[in-house]
Amino acid sequence: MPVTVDGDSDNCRPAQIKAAASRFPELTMILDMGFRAPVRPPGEPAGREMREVVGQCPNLYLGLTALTTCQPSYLMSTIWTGGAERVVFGSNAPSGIPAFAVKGVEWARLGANAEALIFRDNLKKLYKLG
Amino acid sequence: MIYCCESYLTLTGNPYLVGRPGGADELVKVYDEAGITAGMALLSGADAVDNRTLWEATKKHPTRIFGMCLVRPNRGQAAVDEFRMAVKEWGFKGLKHGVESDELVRAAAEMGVPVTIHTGGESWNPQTKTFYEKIAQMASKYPGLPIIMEHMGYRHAVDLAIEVARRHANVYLGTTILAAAEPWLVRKAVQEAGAEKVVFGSNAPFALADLGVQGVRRLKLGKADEELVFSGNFRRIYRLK
Repeated sequence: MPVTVDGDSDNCRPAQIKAAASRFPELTMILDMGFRAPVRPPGEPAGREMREVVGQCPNLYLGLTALTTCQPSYLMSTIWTGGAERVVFGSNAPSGIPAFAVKGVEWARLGANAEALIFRDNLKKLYKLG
Repeated sequence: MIYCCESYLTLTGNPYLVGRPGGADELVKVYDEAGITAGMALLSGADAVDNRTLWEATKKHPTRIFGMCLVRPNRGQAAVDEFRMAVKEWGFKGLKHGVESDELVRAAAEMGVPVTIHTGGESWNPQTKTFYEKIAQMASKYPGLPIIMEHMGYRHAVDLAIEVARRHANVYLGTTILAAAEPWLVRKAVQEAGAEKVVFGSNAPFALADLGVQGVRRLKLGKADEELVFSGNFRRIYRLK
């Protein structure tokens, strides 16, 4: 059963995420990006660190919950960190407004294939939906 | 009318902007898309530029972009001097600051220029509590100085921010980010601190400004309270005619 952890915390740094994901390699872990996403654009050391963690932990996925409605600009950093194959959509409803979250993803114009992965296919795979 | 208490002047090449150009014209375009009349803008930390760049943007769009000065407090007197010059000679209307430099805050108070402070943190963290106490102390020391708590403590210290705003008449709550992300918190701020203490902010272009506007409108605060949040409070704080 996948486990979702809140990445919007001082206690959720890349090294800590890596430790947890590495300890349970058979466990699918979704790191919810929250408001203060632990991702950064290419060129920033903190961004490279998180990208390395995702590369080393194939069981780790990145959840967009809250991010696209508040800081959609971070979306591209999330994609750069893990690729669309490792990113899943979230809305934070009812605190967040799902229509806003959808618009935040569409704003980035990622293309139909990437959107299908983020909005549908990745979650279907992780939760073994029919 | 809608005024925005915090947005950013970015330059071309910022990797956060998904191919959209930076610059003053782009910021005005973002305002237009969201129905924003004008906004306070400051420099983006992602761009290696100075306040002069922002001044040029305000000259190009004097009725749309208002300058919010950003200086490094560790520059000491030089930072204070630059801030004073930006206000007196370039017409900047605000200061983006933290709680580090009393000299900068004193200068803002002397010139009647509002101070905007980024707030967030985690309410259970002692350092966060100390930070909010410093804002409260600043508000007490300079009761005539409007202080806008940007993000009003979002995501994990909203209650702390609201409490400071409740206790101090000169402290306001900026809705930047959370108006789009979790609009119900704007309602909470209006209910607990009063509509006259809440100021709309967009964080454009890094956040989608139109979602922030829609987020507030969806709350159906009522015509009077919505007017205060969108424009009335801003106009009073920044003394617009």
